[in-house]
Amino acid sequence: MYKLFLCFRYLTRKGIVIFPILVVWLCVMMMIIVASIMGGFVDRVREANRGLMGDIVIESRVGSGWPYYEELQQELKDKVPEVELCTPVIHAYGLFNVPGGNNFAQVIGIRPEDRARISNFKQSLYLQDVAPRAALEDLSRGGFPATREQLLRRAVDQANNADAQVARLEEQANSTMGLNRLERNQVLDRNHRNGAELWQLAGGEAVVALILLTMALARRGRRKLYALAAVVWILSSVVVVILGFTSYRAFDRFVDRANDLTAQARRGYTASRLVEALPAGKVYKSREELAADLIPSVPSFAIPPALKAEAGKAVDGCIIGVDLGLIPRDTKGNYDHSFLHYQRAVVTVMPVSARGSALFSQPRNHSFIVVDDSYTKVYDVDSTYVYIPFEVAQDMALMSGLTDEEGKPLPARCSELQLKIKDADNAEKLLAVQEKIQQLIAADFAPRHPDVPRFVVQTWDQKQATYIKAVRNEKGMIIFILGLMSIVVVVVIFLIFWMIVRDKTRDIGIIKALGGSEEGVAGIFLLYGLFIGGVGGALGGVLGTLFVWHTNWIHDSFLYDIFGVTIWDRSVYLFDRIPDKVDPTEVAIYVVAAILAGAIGALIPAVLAGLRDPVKAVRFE
Amino acid sequence: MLRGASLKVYAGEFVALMGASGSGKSTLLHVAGALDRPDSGRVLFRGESLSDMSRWSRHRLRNRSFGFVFQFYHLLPELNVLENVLLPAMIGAPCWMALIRARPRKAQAMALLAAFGLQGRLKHRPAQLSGGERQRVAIARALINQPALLLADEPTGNLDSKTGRSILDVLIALHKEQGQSILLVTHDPHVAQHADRIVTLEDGRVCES
Repeated sequence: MYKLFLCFRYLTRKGIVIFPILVVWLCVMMMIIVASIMGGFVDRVREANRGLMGDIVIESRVGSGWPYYEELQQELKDKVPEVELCTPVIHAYGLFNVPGGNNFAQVIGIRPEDRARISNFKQSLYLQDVAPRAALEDLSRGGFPATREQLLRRAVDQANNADAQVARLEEQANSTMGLNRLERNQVLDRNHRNGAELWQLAGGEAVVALILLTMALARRGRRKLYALAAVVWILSSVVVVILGFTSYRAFDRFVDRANDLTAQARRGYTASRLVEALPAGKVYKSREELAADLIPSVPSFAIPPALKAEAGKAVDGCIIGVDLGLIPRDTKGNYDHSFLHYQRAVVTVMPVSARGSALFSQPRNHSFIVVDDSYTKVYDVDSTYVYIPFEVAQDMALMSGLTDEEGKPLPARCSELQLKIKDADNAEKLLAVQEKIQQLIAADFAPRHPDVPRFVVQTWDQKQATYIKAVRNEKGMIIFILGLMSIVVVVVIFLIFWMIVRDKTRDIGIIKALGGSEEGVAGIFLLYGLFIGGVGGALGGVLGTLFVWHTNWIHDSFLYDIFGVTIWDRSVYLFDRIPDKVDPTEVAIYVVAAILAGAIGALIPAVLAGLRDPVKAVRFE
Repeated sequence: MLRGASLKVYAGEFVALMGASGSGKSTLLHVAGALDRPDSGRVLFRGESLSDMSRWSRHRLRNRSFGFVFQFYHLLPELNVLENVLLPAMIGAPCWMALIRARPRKAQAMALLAAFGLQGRLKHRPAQLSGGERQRVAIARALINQPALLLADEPTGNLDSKTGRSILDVLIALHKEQGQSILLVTHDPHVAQHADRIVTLEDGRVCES
């Protein structure tokens, strides 16, 4: 009882305890923030990759593809009832060309209706999913029933309103009149340099304020004068820095607001084009009715009839990754999706022969119209993929319509089969189906076709395991490094307790003189350490959690809006929002670790305190 | 330091221990109060040898049967007056007993402090008290567990003559009115003359007078 009592008294009446609590608090807070954000990355990468492919993928590890895939598809359909859908895919490499730009690309041949059933492909498409859903939200605000013409009016009004606001902004910001995009970027760069200078100025001001404060504390005479000077200096510095940032940021904010309004206007124009394609004269009585007409149920490569007539028969539709490098993106991360829509493009593929040799002398070209873009949030995919019709890809990659030396037709090839499996969310069942397919191929298919390259059958989890593992390893490495740094916490607590025990030597003697035991005295300081770990850990847990929950607000509304600091650049990073979910188990682990750190740091000083000779301790000065 | 020192203190007796600086007075006091252990010889308390006791028994003995008063008061600075006085009671009681007996103990401490004229200082910290007040708090602390023997190491050594006199009066009153056994170390003959017996230490040996 007295141990707890004395421990509590020391905790509340000794100022030095603030330092170890602060160290523990900051350490726990840092661990929670890093673990939550890195863990959020892992989860988001996993989710994003999950939506890219089927539940099971059958592929051969050769670039030339493999034949008899239709036979295997039929066999899977007959013998593995868990397989709901099986669709072939072509992977080829080449070049994507549009007027004004080109880029290397992975050319993916798919059947879009099947792709949409086995993955999140449709949800990644702008014109065939994202834009219609956004248009549905915007158009529904005006209420129902509504005719096609009324809906068109709403869409056009939205676009015109946004354009009008942009025009008003332009007038208000006189310094930007007549600036084109390049000039605006130059002004932005200059502002960022000025911002950097302001930070240096703020740093210098802080140093001076610190010196004044130190002098106020150190000197006996004129203490109040120095303290007053320090306070005035700090306040004036804060005012100057904030005013400086506010004025420099004014232009940046204008640009951001203009970008947002421009994106809103584009959204309205896109909505108006979608409404124009609706049946003329139709009256929509409900949101669901409008959704049925506005949002296609199945994605496709279909070219609008007007363009098709103009483009000709030998042109097909293609869908490109939004980060292929050709679609502009503003500072707020908004893509100008309309930039490439319905543009003519030429895709060139470098085919690989059935024997695996690259046919550099036989590149295959084909004309396309860009009918949509895809945003999967996986950079590797969005920056390289160009989707084209499966049969067209097969033809371009020389995987179909070939004959051997004797003129016999060679079987068509594909790169992989992607499967949709029933109850795929049940990991055990999925693994069981994978095993079944592997045995089927080994026992039935492979013996019939010994020339077919060896297959790899993987679940979606196994296929992305290496990638996810890399991200997980990064998280693990960072946590480990931070954990090592957390040893500093133990050392700080140890040093502070060493000082406290030394400071309390006489008290230790008194307690022993009053009948306190060695264990009792040690227990006082051990409890003290536990409390410090507990209080610091609890503070770190609460504040760390609050910080993570409000990470995006802190970044957008504080760091970016006031100081123009961008840590999370949406034009670069994979995800629009910084992960902001906290795992309660991880928080509990870190808080418990903090308590243990307090105990470990205090252990040796506590034991030494217990072992002190009471006679010498009482006489200690 | 002590060479063949032998001393008996009887119940209800006031013994003053005198000697030159470094003669071993405080050491003898500490050994008598089980705060220190002799290299040889025995310390008996009510016939029981301290060296035969377990470590826990000696702690309990120090807590319940002995009360220490030091020259420099040695109050815990983070605790107020009442808490300092209650500390030995808290040390001596298991948790459940401390909770049950909290109120009676508190009443007892307050009564002790009132007897020493400190009823208005209960919430004060030691730094807010005068030397005499601190020493009275220390005496109250030493008495909270109603010890068999009060061990005072130069209790007036750090006080002016008037304050020291008042403290001495407190000790004399304790002895005469309540029969408190006291072993007091002093180098002041004016203090020692109030004792029942004066024992002098010379060259580590006890000489009675």
